[in-house]
Amino acid sequence: MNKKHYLLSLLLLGAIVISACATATPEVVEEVAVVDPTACNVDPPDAPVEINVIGWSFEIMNFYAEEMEKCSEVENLEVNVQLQDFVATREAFNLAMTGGDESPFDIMHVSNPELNEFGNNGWLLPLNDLIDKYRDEYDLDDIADVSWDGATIDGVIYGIPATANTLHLAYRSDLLEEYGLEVPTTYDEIIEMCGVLADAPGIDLPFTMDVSAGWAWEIEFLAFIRSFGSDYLNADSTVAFNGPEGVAAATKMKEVVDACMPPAGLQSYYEETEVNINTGTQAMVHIWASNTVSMFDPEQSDFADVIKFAPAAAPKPGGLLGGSAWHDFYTIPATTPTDTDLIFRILMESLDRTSMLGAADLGIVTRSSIDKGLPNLAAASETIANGVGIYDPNPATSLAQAALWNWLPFIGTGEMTPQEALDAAAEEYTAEAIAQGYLP
Amino acid sequence: MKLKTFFQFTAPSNLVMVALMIIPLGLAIVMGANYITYATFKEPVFVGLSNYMEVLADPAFWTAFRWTLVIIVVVVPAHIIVAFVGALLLDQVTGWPRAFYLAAMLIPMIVVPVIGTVVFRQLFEPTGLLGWFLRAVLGGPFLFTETSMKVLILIHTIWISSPFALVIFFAGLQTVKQELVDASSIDGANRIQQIRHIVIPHLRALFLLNAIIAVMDFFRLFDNVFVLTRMNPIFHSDTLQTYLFRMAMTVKRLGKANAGAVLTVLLIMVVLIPFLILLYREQTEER
Repeated sequence: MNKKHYLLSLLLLGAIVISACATATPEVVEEVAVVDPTACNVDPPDAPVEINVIGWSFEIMNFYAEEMEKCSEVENLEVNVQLQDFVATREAFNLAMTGGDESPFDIMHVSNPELNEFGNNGWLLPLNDLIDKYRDEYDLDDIADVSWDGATIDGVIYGIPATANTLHLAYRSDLLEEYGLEVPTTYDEIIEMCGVLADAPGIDLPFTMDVSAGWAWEIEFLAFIRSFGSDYLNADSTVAFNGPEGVAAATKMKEVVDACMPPAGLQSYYEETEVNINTGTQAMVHIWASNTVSMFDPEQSDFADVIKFAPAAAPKPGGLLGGSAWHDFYTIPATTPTDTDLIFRILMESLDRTSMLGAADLGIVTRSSIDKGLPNLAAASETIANGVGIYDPNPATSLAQAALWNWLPFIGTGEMTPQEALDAAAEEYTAEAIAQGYLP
Repeated sequence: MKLKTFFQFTAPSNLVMVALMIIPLGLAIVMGANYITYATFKEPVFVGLSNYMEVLADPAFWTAFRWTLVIIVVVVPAHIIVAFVGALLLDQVTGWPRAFYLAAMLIPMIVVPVIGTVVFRQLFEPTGLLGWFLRAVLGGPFLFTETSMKVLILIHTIWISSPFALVIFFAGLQTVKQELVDASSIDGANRIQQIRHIVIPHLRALFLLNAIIAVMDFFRLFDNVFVLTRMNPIFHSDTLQTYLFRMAMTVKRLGKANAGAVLTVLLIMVVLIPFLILLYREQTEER
C-alpha cells in the first residue's frame, strides 16, 4: 500500500467519524424534544433511582406504560418498561419471585389470577397504607368498588386496578330486526334465537361462546356456575363445582353448544369470531370487550354500522349476568429494594384521572367519573356491575381451574356427560389439593 | 494417547458439557426428589422418589409417551426421506438457482417456530386458504378432530424438521466421489442404481446422525403441539413436553415436573441406544 492509499484511508475514516457525529446530535435533540416534562409530578429523589416495570402488551396497558415512562424526565429518576407477551411475562414473574431475595422489578402488571396467586404467596406489597396516604391526592375513591374487590384478599389490597374487561354480547342488529328478534337477556332466549337464525342465508354460526380450549370452557363455566348460584370450591376448599348447580350450569352450556354451535363452532375462538362478525358469517358472539375494537371500525368491519353491543345474557333466568369482572392491575413486589412510596407515586401518575381520560379511548378504565369510552362501554359496564364477579382468591382455586381445563371440553364433544366430566375434574382436583396441602 | 493428554485436549468441551448439561441435569434430579411449588420454592421438602413414582403411575404420562413415540416412528423416517430427496434434487441444480432453492427449502428453519405454526393452523381454519379449499372439496367445514389434529401435527413436524436434515445430506452429497459415479455410468448404472449403491452407502453415517438428532428433537417437541392444539384435551395430543408444561405451569408442581423431565431424559437415552450403537459401529468400520 503506498502513501496515496494511506492518505485515502485516513480521509475515509475521518469522513465516517464526522458523519457519525453529525447524525448522532439531531437524534438526541429530537428525543428530548418529544418528552413532556410536566406530565410526571413526582419529586426528584436525592440519588439516582431506577424503576423497572414489567407487563404484557395490549393497547391500554401500553398507553399506561408510556405515561409511566414520562417520569424518566424527573431528575435522578429512570423508568424502564419491559413489555412482552403474556407467557414470557409470567415466566419472568416466576423467576423473579422465586429466584432471589430482591425483586428485579418494582412494578408488575398482573391480572386477577396472578394477583390471587402472588398475593396468597406473600409476593406482593400490601398497598392499604399507601392508598390511605394518597387517597385524596389521586382521588382513589373514584375507582369503582367492583374493581377494588378484585384487588383485595382478606381485606388486603395488593393492586391498583388499571383496566376492566368482561364478556358481553356483540350482535348484528340488522339481522335481529329482519327476523323480528329481541336482544336476548338469557341463554334460553339465545337458544331460541339460534333456532330462528340457523337457516339465515350467509350465516354459518348464529352464536358462539369461546369453547375452543380447556381454559376457554372454564372461563365460560365460571359465568354459568355463578349465575346458577354456586362456585368452584366451598370455604374449606372441598369441591363444589360438581354439585347440582354445577351440573345444571354445564348442562346449559351443552344445550347452547348443541343449539348454536355446530361442530365448527366448537373450534371458534375470540379472534376468529371477531372476523366472522366483521365479515357477516356470524350473527352474535359472547366476546371480551377488549376484542371488539375492530367492530367499530368501518375499515376493518363490513358491518360496523349495524354491529351493536348488549350486556351478557344470564345463564339462569333471573340469575347473575354471564360475564366476569376481569381486571388488570399494577402491583408492587414485596421484595423490591426501592422506596415503595416513590414507586406508588410513579404508578399512580399513570393511573390518575388525566391519564385515564386518555386511556378511555383504548379500553375500559376503572374510574367511575369517566363516562366517555368505546361504543361497548355501557354493555360492558352493566355486565361488570351485574355479572358474576371474579375468581375466589382461595389459592386452591387455580387447581380447580386446572382440573376443569382438562375435563370440561369433553362435554362439548359428547364424550362425557356434564356429571361425568365434573366428577372426573373433582377427582383430579381433590388428589392434587391433598398433595399440595389444601385438603387434609 | 495418554489419558492426561486426552483430558487436556478435551477439557474445554468437558467444562462446557458439565456447565450446560451435567449441572442442570443434576439440579433437575435433586428438584425431582423434592416437593416444590412456586409458593414453596425456597423451602423445598425432600420426598425421595415419590415424585418419580407419581409420574410413572400417571396414565397421562404414558399416553403422552406413546404419542411422542408415534411422532418419532412416523416423522423420523418421513423427514429423512423428504430431506434426502430434496438434497438430491438440489444437488442437480447449479449456479444461482441452487442458492435460490436452498434458501426456499430453509424457510421452515428460518421462520420463528411459533409464528410458523400459527400461520400453519390458520391455513386450516374456516377463514384460511386450505380451510376454504377443503370446505369446497368436502362440502363442509374442515374440523379439528383428534385424527385431523394428529395428522396436522405429523405434517407440521416433518415440515419444520426436514430443512436441517436436508442441509446435512446436501453437504454430504458434495463429498461423493465423482469418479465413482462416472465409473458406474460407464458400467451402465442408472441414476437410481447410483443412488442405491453409491450415494446411500456413502451417506450412511449421515442418515444415522439425522435420525439421532431427530429422535432427541422430537422428544422435546413442544411449540407446534402447544400452538396447534391450544392445549385442548379433546385432541389427546399431549407430548411429553406439553405434559410437563401442564405439570409445571398449571398444576405448579415443579418437583414433579422435574422428575418427569429426568424420566424423559432416561427414555431418550433408552430409545437412542440402538442408534448410538449403530453409529459407533459405522465409525469403527470406517476406520
